[in-house]
Amino acid sequence: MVKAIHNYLHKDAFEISAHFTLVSLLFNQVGNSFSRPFILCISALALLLANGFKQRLIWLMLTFFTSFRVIHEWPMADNHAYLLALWCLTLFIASCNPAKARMIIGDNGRVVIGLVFLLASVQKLMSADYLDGTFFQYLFLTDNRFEDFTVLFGNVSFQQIYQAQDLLNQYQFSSFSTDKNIVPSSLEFHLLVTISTWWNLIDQLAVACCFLAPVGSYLHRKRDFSLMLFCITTYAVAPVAGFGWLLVSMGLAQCEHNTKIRIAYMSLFFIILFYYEVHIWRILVDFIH
Amino acid sequence: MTFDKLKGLFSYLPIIVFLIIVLHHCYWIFQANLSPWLGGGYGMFSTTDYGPSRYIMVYGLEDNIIKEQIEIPESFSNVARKLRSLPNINNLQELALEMENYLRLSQYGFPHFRIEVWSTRYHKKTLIPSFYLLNKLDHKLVR
Repeated sequence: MVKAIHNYLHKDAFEISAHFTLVSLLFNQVGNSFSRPFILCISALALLLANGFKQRLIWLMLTFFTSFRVIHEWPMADNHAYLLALWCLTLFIASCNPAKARMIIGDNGRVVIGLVFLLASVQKLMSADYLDGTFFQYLFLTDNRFEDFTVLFGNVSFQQIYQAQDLLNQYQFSSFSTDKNIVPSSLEFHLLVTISTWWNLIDQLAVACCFLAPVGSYLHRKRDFSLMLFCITTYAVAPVAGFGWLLVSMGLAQCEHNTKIRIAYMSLFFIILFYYEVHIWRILVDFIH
Repeated sequence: MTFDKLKGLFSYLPIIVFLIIVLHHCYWIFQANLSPWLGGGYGMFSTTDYGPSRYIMVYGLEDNIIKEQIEIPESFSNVARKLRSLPNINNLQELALEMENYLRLSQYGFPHFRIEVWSTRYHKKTLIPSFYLLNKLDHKLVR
């Protein structure tokens, strides 16, 4: 087992990244009822066939179906659908040019990650209601996916969250007015909102700077650490594993041929899987209450 | 441009495509109030201006006066979701046509109806919402 893992860690970056991309396509079933069966079949075939991941037809078809999903559903496709389609296109181009595959996936992976994080940061900086904390106040009180986390760290009860949702509904297009507060008057909640707002922005800006920094610079050398830190903290809270797995697959494509970094990325892939399957905040809430 | 240069450019096609997507995304945000959260691949978790904070109101009109509010049938949820994300004239017309068929079948009484798309701004301290109109369309019901 150890020898098998050791051998795997020394494989070509294209092979490792392609494998992890295919596994994430199987784990995170994307697309609609038309494209999903094709994406799943092609991904399974690519993993089952010997050297299936090297076949340009495989990546051409995956590029087609993942792009079809983005274009067909535009503008409602999930954000990671765009990155997935671009990444399948990158792997297709790399499979057409095996001699330069390493360089193609490395350069495209690094620059696209850098640009995505840069634009995500710019969008937050330009947003009318992000920096003042409105966004996270609203998110924590209205998005059920975050309610366990909010209860645990914001010192608010489920009742307060449901009351806030109820009050927001009553304000909709009505002359409703009340003395009750929508936002719970909890110091911990306000601290949680402030930390989430700034951590999310600074972390993403750091990833952007590191991935877009000149090759060989100090920031460039820290890029894998910055991306891993982002994934470990973000996907513990945000249940969007598909994006995390895709970032890990792209991270593996562009990292140095360094066993420790590869082990870290691969471990991260499975950590995200655990985050996704084991609802740790739910368990903690149940345990505390 | 030589073949080698073209081949080199092809290697970076994903970056070029992504930059085109970014320009396209910005165009629709400024041109047609596309929700910044959607349509570009990088806008998530940045604003409250997305699906749950956008509302569609449909009213029956007579002599340009609002007579009653009309509920949007559940079966139009996909069209409505698309309109909330991108309230441009095409999506307004798409929902208007669906509503027209529905209202005609249900023997609806008023000659016109209006579709409005609203967005919400939340007060930064209290979260009390205020609403502003993104786009609207008046549609004549053809009998």
